[in-house]
Amino acid sequence: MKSIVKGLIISCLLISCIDPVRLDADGDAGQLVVDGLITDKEELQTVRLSRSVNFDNNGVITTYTVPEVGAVVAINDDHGRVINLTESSSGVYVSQQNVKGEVGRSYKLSIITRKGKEFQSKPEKMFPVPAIDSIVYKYVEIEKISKSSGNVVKSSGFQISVVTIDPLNEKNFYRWKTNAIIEFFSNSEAADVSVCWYGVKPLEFKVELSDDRYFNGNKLIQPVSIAPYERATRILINVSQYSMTQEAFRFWSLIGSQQQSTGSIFDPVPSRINGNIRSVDTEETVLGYFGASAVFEKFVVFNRQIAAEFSPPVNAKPLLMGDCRIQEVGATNLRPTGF
Amino acid sequence: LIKRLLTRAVFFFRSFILKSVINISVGMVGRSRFIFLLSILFCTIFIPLESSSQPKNPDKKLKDYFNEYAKKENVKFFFEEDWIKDITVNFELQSLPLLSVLNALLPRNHLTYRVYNERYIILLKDFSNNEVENETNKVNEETFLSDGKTYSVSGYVRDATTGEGIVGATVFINELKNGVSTNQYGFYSIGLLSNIYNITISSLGKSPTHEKVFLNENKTVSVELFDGTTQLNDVVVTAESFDHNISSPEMSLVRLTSKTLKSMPAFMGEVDIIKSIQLLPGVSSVGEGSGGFNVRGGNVDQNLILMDEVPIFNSSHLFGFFSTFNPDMVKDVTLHKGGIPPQYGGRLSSVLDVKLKEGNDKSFSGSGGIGILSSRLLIEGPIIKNRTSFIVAGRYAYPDLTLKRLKNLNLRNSSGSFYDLNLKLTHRFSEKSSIYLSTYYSGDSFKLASDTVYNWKMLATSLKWNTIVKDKLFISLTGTHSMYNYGIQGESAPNLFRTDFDITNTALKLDLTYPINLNHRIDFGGSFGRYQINPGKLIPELGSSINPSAMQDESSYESSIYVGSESKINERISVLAGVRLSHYNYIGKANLFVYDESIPKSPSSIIDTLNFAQGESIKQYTGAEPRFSLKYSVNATSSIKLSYNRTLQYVHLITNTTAVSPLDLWKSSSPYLKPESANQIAIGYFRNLLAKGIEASAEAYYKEIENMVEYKDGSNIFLNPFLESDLLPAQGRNYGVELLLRKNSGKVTGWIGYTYSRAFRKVKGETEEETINNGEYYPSNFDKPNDLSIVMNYKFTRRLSASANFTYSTGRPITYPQSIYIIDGYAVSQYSERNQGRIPDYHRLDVSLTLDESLRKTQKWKGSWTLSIFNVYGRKNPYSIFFKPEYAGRIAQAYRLSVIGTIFPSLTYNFKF
Repeated sequence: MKSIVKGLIISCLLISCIDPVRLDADGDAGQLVVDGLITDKEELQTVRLSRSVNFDNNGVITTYTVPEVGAVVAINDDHGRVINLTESSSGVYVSQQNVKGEVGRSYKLSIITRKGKEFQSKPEKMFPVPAIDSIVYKYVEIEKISKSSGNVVKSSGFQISVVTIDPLNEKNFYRWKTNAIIEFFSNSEAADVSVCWYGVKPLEFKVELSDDRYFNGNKLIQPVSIAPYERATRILINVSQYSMTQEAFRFWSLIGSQQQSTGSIFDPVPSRINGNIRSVDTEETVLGYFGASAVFEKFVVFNRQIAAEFSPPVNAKPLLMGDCRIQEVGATNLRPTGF
Repeated sequence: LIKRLLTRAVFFFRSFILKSVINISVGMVGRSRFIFLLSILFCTIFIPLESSSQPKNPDKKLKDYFNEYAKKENVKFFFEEDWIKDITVNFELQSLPLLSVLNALLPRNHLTYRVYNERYIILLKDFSNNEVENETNKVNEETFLSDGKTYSVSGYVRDATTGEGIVGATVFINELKNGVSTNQYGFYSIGLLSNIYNITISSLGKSPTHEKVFLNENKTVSVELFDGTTQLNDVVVTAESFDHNISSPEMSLVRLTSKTLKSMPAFMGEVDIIKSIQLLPGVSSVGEGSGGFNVRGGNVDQNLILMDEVPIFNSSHLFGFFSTFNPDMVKDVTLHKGGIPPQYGGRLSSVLDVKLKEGNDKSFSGSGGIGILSSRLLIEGPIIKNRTSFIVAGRYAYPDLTLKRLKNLNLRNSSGSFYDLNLKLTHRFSEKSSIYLSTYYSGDSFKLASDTVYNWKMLATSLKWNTIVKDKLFISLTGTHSMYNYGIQGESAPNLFRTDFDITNTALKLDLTYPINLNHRIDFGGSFGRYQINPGKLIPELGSSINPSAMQDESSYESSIYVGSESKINERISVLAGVRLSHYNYIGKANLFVYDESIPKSPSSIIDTLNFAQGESIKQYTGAEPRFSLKYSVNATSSIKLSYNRTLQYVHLITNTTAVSPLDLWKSSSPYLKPESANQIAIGYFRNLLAKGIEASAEAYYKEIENMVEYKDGSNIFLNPFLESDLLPAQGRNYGVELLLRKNSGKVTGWIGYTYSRAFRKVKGETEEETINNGEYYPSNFDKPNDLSIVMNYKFTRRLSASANFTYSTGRPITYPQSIYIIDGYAVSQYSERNQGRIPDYHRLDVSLTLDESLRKTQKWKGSWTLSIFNVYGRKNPYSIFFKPEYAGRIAQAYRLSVIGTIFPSLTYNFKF
């Protein structure tokens, strides 16, 4: 079904062209933004609060987070259980210890800002998530147009897909997040710093979603990401499969289509993305979403050289000299699980 | 030099005579003319005029008058000097148009004239008037006795070269200073008191013909008109103070002939009707590459587009880059923007009536063109001479050749093509009865990037029988069938699938026209038709894990009856009044969800499902659509018109994209989707500037629309079984002023149109979810207040002509990114309320140059080269402004998309044989 969406999104007709423009911001900045999710995983449940900023694309890389500090935040379920969150860093509110949500319960977020304004989310039910049956990968060659030169740049990679058996008797809404750990070598005399690993989180900035409207009860083979093939080494792919409500699915679909927007005549007209948080006593608009998801995680490690049937990487990264830990951001020589 | 000119004169004279022979063999009038023409050919020496200057004198010799005129207007005169040596043109006459001068002076000197090839005026001895015929006439005139009864004069006006009926030709009764126009088949009928009448039959671009009728029984007068000079001819029409645009009560109507269309710059080397009409005041579109057009604030699906009376559902090929109509096949295009006559119905905002050519029933001929993106070929000819003819035309486009050279990777991996075929057969049983079969088939296939193929197919067929009963009642019975099928094919593994959508309309239509007398005419009739809609099916290919799924098919009947009358109340006032009654019946088999009415519709508010059996009525709607227009003539050259019309529409195109996309679907009216209705009033001032052949008009309109279809933000329309819960009824409020200055003749032809218009929408439901922009009026996607179009064609010489058009409009409204925030690491933009911003203004200049290869008359093959340049100064007219996160989704950037942001030249070779 993705290709329907993709087809609609392909911008260019015969001879279109796209140029960056400078927009004059006259926005309604300063709206409260809620970014929160409760999962059924035993972890520190986190909610981020911030304020929106004016759209400004003057070419300078700006931070978009104006943290909302000093709020009182709590998650309540429909059985009267309360999880209080405390501010661990500016605008980041976490539970005091590792806790988990329960499938079948409904969760509600309540916020009282420092100025005393009260906000609440609609209750979100946590639906069960089917297990990932397997993760499959396939060697692909990719052509892209370089933004700087305009030339075609070839690269190689692996199409990662998850295989899930969709349950027949329920409506399912899925979201996937994919992370990777990449192994690499260095031409170093010291053996302990000649092999390193670094994490890529997320593997691609792309919202991957699906519902089972067209697949109900079938084996779902969902492409989730493209893993790079820049070195002939091993890679670990970790896919998290999330359940969600229909409303959350709608919200994330809109975020996803905005990320892929091309402005073409076949694009759905851009629209405001309304979340599920409301002000208790005013008409104030609140952005963002508080969701409840069950998560199933699975990982796979594979040797990319073998998976590519020994084709060498297109545009391979060179083998460098010295300590591998300083050759990639976040690289470590501590062998991760799976390798 | 003289010898060369003489040869040339003989050349065109010979072909002229050949045509006359055909004329005479059909017409009754001209045996004597034939003889005299022969005599002229052998006896007369033509003297082309050399320039000479004469002192200014209030009265001029005709010869000098010609002389000066020839220098000024690039016209040549041929005559026997002897004939005109005694004729003088007095001072008053000199200020009148040429043909008025000729009409005034020649008859009394027993002379007449012919205009040939737009530039040659040949004076002839008028034997017919003063010798043989005149004598019989005299006898007739003396013995003729009026019996005081009313008789009809009716007949066909046809093109002498092709035998095709001429639409809108003027049949003018000189004695009554009044006349009628031929209908769309070239037929006219007038009821007149028994008397002797001189009738002048004329049409734009043709030489007029004069007939004398002794009316003491019902008479048939059918004539054939020769090509004349546009430049001079319509001056004659205006001089006779009968001009359709000021004398008819019809308003908000524009007619473009194939000649006008062909003189406009062609994008991608091909004349495009849809793009041409977008240059008219009151017609706009969301932008380049968008199929369809918007008339006076109406949506794209509110245009009734008729191809030989068959309603068609898509007016474009390749996403709007080509129009559905093969330019070689088009005879005449009429656009009704308002004051829609009662015989048309089913769509709210406009009627685009495209008439296709009939085959030449006299001789075989063909035409075509070869271009960089497409080629076409047309062949026509008689099957039985003067009775049965065929015309067949085909087109094929091959944009792949161009696509493969483009830099953009998505485009380079794209491919596509379309083809279309027209076939039309015409058979004349008799002078009074004919049958037409017209059919059209087209197929489009376009692959965008590498994995999605868009397909669409169209079939449109009409079978029509025209007959005349008792010389007066014109009856037209038409059966139409129109099918539009579209879908996409997804090629990306592992889930192969295709989608399928259809809309089919089959209808039978009866139209009758009865002229009571010269001043009153009644049109009446009715129609009955069936719609079958498949609003979407998903079909998995073998091995795919997709489940098949489908929206339920929709069936309905639409029927109507109408009556309308056109009456000339007096010299000044004419009224066109009518009403159309329409009925719609949405029938099973279908399941209908019943929603809880206390909360907004959603899948979760369904409380019951009703099942309807095959053919069972689910919902019926009936409506009356009054149509009224009035003309008041201020004087001979200007009039004021007023019109009101109400229209209803029962099928709707559902779209949530800016332009109409190949995945939009048609929906029937249902208990939840009410019929759309529009009420429009318009007032206009029309004036003809006599001497220059210029028509000027100013119109103002106000149009309110109810129950237009809007969608909730972020709704999904594809295969959504609960689609009605995502749709909202919208109100439309549209108003504007349209100014048009049009010149149809002379070396410079074209028009200047300016429109100031607004098109607003309002969606105010009971809850916030069912409301858009707080329930206030907001501009529609194509609300462009200022709109200026200039279309000019200039003939340098007979072989070289140039044309240009310039358009300017206010940028269209957009929803733009306002603020930015982060969710789960993604930079997300908060957009403004719907359509609260605007893109920069749009302007563009296109030019084209046409060079004819050869003008020798003997040569059957005539070729011409057309070089056209679209967007001459390469302006990157923005189509949209959108937000896209860059650098792994962290940085927000705004982009501007221009669909054709570059100069686009194309070269086409056109030919005729």
